[in-house]
Amino acid sequence: MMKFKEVFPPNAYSEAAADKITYARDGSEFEGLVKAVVYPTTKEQIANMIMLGKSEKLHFTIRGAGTNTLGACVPANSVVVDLSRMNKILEMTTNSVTVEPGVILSNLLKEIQKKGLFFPIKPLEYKVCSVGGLVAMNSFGLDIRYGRVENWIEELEVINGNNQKLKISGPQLKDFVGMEGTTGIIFSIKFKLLPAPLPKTVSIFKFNTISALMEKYDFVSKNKHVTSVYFLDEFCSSFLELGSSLLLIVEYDNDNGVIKNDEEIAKLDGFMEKLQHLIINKKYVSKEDPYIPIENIPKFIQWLRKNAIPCYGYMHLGIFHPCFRESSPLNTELYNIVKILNGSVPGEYGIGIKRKQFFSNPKLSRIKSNHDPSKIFNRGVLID
Amino acid sequence: MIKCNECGLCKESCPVYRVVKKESVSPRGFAILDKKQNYDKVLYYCSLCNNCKVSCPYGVDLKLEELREKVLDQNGETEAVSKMIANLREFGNPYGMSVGMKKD
Repeated sequence: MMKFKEVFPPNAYSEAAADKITYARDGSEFEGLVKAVVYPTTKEQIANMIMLGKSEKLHFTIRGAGTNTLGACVPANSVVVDLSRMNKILEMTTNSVTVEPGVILSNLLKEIQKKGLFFPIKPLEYKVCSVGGLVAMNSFGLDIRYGRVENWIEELEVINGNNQKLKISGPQLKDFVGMEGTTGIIFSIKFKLLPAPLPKTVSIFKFNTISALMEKYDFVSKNKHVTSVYFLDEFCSSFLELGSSLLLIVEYDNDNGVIKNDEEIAKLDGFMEKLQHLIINKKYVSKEDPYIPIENIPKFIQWLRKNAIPCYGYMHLGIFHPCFRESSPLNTELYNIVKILNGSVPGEYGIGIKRKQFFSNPKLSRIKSNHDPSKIFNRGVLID
Repeated sequence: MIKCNECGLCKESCPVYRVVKKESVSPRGFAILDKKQNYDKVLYYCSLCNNCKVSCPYGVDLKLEELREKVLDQNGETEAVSKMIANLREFGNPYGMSVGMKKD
C-alpha cells in the first residue's frame, strides 16, 4: 500500500477513516469494505496503479458519482478508484464530443447546448451522474426513443485488467458498455451528437379497462411512425393530475399525433422527470424495472392493480417501473411474478450486487475472463 | 439520526463538493458519517449554504451546526477554531490583532 503514495500526490490518496466510511456505500442498501481511496487524474496514473495493484495483489472498485441503486460501486475490501476528478471535456466537434469519465452529465449538456448541438441521453439523475457511470451501466435517458447510451458512443479508450490501453469502437463496445466496470477503466469517451432533437408529435389515450388499452396498443404499434409508447397507471396519472385512468402516451416521428404545438410538447417532455419526483415525494422509494413479454402485460397490470402498486413503463420495450414503499414485501413477490410471466428482472437499470443471484450469463463471464482474467475490477458485482 | 436515503442527488448542488470532489465532503457523506456516529472534522468543510436541503428530493435537513457540536464532543475543536477562540479571549477579535493595529 505504501507504494501508492509514489503514484499519487498526497491529496489524491486517502486511508482516512471518514473516507473509508463514506466510500463503503453507494445509492443502494449495500455496504462494503474500503482499503483505500485514490483519485486519479491521468491515464498514466491509472496504468501505474494497476501495475502496482497486481504486484501487491490488490483489487479495485471503480466509482463515478456513486448514485447506482444496485450496489455496482460497493467495494469488497478493495481500493476505490474515484474518477470524479477526471472531469475535463477534451474536444467538441459538430458531430461528436470527447470527454473524461468523471464529467457530470448536466455540465456536459450545458456545454453541448452552448454550441447549439444536442445529446439525447438524459436520465433522471443527469444533475449528478457521471458520464463514465452512464456508459458502464448502459443507461437509458428519460426520452426512451433514443435507446440506450450504447447507440451514442463512437469510441472508448480503456485500460483493461491486463493493463493494455485499448481503443474500442463498433461491436466490441459491448465488452465495456454495460459491463458495470468489471472489465476495465474507461478514461476517455467519444459521444455522437445530433444537430437537434428529432421531430415529434404526441397523442394521449385514456382507458378504463386493460383490454381496451391492449387493443389500442396493438393498433398503434403497427404504425411505423410510432417511436415510443409510455404506459401510466391510475396512480401515476392522478399524481400528474391527468385524471385517474390508465393512460397511453404515444409519440410519433411525423404529424400523426394530436399534440403538435411545440410549447405543449415541451411541457409533456418534462412529465417523466416530474412523475419520478412525485413518486419519491409520495414515499415510494424503491423502483424496479422488470421486462414483461407483450402477451403477459395484461396479467402483470392486473397483479399491480390488485396490490395497489403505482407503475409506469415503456410498452414498446416491455419495461415497467412498479414503485414500492420502503422494505415492502411486495417487492420480493415481484421477482416471483416476473418469473411466472416469463419476464426478466434486469430490464433497464443493470445488475450490480442486488440482482446477481437472479441473473447469470455465460457470455458475460467470457468477456470478463478475456479482459480481466485475474479479477481485479469490481469484485462481487455483476458476475462472480 | 438523519433519514437520508443516500441517493446522492445532493452532491453536485454542494459548492464545496464541486471543488473538493471527495465523497466524505459531500452532503451524502456527512449523512453517512452521522449514521455511523463518526463525527470527523471533515464536517467543518461545509459552508452552511443549505443548498443540499433545497435539492434533496426527501427534504432532508442535515442540521450541520448540530453535527458540528458532536464533532466538538468527540474530537475536540479544529486548529482554526481553537486559534479563533484564543484570539477572541486575548484580543477581543478573531484575527489576533490588538486594537491599536486596526486601521480604518
